[in-house]
Amino acid sequence: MGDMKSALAILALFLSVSACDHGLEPPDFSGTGTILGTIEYVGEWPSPENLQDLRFVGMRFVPRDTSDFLQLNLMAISPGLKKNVTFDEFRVDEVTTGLYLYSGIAQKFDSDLLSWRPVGLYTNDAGVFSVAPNQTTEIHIRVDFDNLPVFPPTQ
Amino acid sequence: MMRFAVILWLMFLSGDIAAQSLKGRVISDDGAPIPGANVLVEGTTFGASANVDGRFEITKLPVGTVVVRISSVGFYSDRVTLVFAADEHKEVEWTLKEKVFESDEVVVTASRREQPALSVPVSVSIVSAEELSRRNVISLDDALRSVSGVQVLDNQINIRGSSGFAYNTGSRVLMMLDGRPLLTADSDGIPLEALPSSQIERIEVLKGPGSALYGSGALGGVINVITKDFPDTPTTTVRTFAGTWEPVRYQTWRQGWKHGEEFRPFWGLSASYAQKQSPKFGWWGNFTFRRDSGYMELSGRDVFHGFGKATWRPKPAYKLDVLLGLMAKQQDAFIFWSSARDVLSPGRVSFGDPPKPNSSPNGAPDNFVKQISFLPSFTHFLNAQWFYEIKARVFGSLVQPIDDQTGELKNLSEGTVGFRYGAEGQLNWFPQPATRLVFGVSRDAITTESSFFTTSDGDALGGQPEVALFSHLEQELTEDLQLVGGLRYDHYQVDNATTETRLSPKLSLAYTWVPGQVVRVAWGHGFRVPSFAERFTDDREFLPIVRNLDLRPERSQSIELGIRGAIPLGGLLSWDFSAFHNTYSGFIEPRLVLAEQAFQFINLPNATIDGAEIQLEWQDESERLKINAGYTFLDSKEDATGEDLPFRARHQFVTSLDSKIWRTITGGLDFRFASQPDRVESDFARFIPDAEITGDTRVLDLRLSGSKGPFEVAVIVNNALEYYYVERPALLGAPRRYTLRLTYRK
Repeated sequence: MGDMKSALAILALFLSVSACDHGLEPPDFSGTGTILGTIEYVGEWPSPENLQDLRFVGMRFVPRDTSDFLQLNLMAISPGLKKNVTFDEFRVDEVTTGLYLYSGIAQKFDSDLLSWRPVGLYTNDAGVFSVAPNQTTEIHIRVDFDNLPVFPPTQ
Repeated sequence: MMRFAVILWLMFLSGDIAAQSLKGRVISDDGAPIPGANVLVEGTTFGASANVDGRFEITKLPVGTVVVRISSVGFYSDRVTLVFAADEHKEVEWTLKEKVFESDEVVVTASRREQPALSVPVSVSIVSAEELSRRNVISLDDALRSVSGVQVLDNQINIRGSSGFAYNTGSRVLMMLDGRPLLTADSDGIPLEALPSSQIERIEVLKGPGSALYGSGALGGVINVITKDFPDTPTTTVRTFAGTWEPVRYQTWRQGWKHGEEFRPFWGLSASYAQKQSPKFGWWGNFTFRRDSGYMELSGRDVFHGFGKATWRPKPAYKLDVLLGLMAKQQDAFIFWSSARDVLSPGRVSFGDPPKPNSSPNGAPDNFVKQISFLPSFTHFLNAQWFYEIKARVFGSLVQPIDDQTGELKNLSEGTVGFRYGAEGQLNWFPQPATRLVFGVSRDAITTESSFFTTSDGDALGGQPEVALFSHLEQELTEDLQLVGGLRYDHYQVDNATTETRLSPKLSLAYTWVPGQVVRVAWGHGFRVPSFAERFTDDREFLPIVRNLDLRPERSQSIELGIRGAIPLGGLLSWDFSAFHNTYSGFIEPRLVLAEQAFQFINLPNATIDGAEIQLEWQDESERLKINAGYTFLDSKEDATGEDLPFRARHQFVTSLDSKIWRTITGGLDFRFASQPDRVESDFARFIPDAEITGDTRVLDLRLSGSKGPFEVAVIVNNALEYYYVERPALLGAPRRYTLRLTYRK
């Protein structure tokens, strides 16, 4: 019976020490914002087979190569945009707040997962904009299909 | 001459076997009888147990030389060589020397035969039937979480850091049922849920490579589920359990799922019947159904599985065993969470597109799985020195996706149908009492058709036929020194143009330096052939994955030094300490391969895992209190970079306590701790929010049970501390749950 009491005492001590820590917790939430954009297109549009998709992509990092297009956690992506127009608008809601360092319009030119390239970049303020909680950030992007941005970008 | 030989053979089978007999008495040093002492003729099924007076009798012995082994728990066993002439009846008296301290546990996994756990020359942990029952174990992962040096990451078993986490596409641990591999036809994964829980005698966990004995898959270790013998009186066990998952404590997590505020139920029913109907025939059957609504959205499952075993001995020298297993499972496979703020909802990976109406998140694909296992074996005892075994195995798998919109099963052409089949022959020769030799040959192949797999030659059927030759030697060099050696040669065909070969040696020594204390040293190789899924998966539905025909086998090499023993300390304290150095090359893991613009399973560079493990077990003299504890230290490094291997916990600790509280009421606890992995690297984290999050694991399970007559009732609280952890990237570990269990056993 003495052994039993000792064991229960150890258990009680252990439980009292351990019961306060519950491990993983939900991380703090800093809110979300909205990106509202306008796009101006100039130059000759790509052929339909080379224009499988077109979207606004805002990145919270500067990509090093095409593999970074899979960093979906650090990107805000719009639904598909209109094609063969001279002007378009987009809206992306529930966007993670913070600085967006490299953003623009991306063209999917082939069926492969990583066959994306930028066709126009946000260039104001050195290409950086900020999204604040419950705020709307407005940006403008110019796309010149005859003069595409260099990718990967030079740092 | 030929006819003469046939007549002699028939005489041997029908006449001489019946005429000779042996009777006598087994006593201890002080002359007291030893009831229950076992007297067995080695290499045969002839044997008897001593009665209360220590007396026994064995009839129908063969003419010639036989080796008789006399053993009893708590005594040193003895061997005696006897020569029988025709119609000779011998009468003997044997004295066994009493042991001061020794466990009566036995294991078979270390050398394909039953031997005392104390003297095996490798690290083996045992989970007993009693422990399984106490913990309400209904799937194998539940049983293994409390074993020292073993971590279960989702469905992947990780022995001493051998596995990390590799997306459940292939297991680096070989699972066996009564010494026969239990596999699936596509991924070589371990069917953790198919466990005949009421008929398990024990589970043996061999830590370290076991390929010299068991071939591919035994890279990091072997798990062998040993089923019970047939009882002399019919035994029925019916068990039902029901319980609930408690809602998680954080409102942020609960609000992400409409059922997050609810207690989520689970229940199950298991029935088992076992009977030895005659000395020649025995059987048992076991079925289990379980329904779990799941603690996360789209994580529910219905599982039915049944197992049956029958043994027929038409003559003492012949034995036919058949094991049959069936499983049907409908499940939502929760793969990854939505985010660390919404851990109960499966995530979606998309490139900005809104989800299709009524579609499931792609973090939880639905499917219906059916599996069958058929494992017959035949044993023939030729004489006291020779016997052979022929074993066959057939595994079938059928996986059908479920349509998100209609809930109906999709066409089988969109799923997987696979068969894995094989056979092996094993010849056992005991030329002398101190020498045992085993030779064998085995052949396996896979036939799988799947919308996910594309073979190299475009043929939808066929894959990776494999042939192996193996040998095994046990030699007692002196009374205290045992040598075990083995060599296995495997040859398998990747496709029509490519073959692979592998040679797996092992060598170990066990030395009893004082009674009850054994020092061991073991060296061995392991390997694992890439699974069908790893080599041939070619699919773009959820993620782009391309096949890799250049995958090579994973290889491992292990050196271990250990000591095992027991001393009296207010009861009995037994311990096992080991230090090990393991090297691995060619780990197979998925990576994003830019050249392929897709994920692909590739071989990674070499790695080293050094470590040490200590296991302690103490039981008081009155056997009212039992405490187990095990600590494992792992230092894992990639050789090229010096970085830690991902998903390996540097420190692991498990402990359990069981006590008889009052009359038939018992209580107990299990606690397991694993430190936060020093490194988490996952291509998952590129597109799944917060997949890089990790932390310590600290889980406490409590239980209380009582019995009256054939009935037993138990209450179990799992994760009583309500500690939240990630089981593997982007998957919340099981939160607190409560279980009430009723058992009827007669």
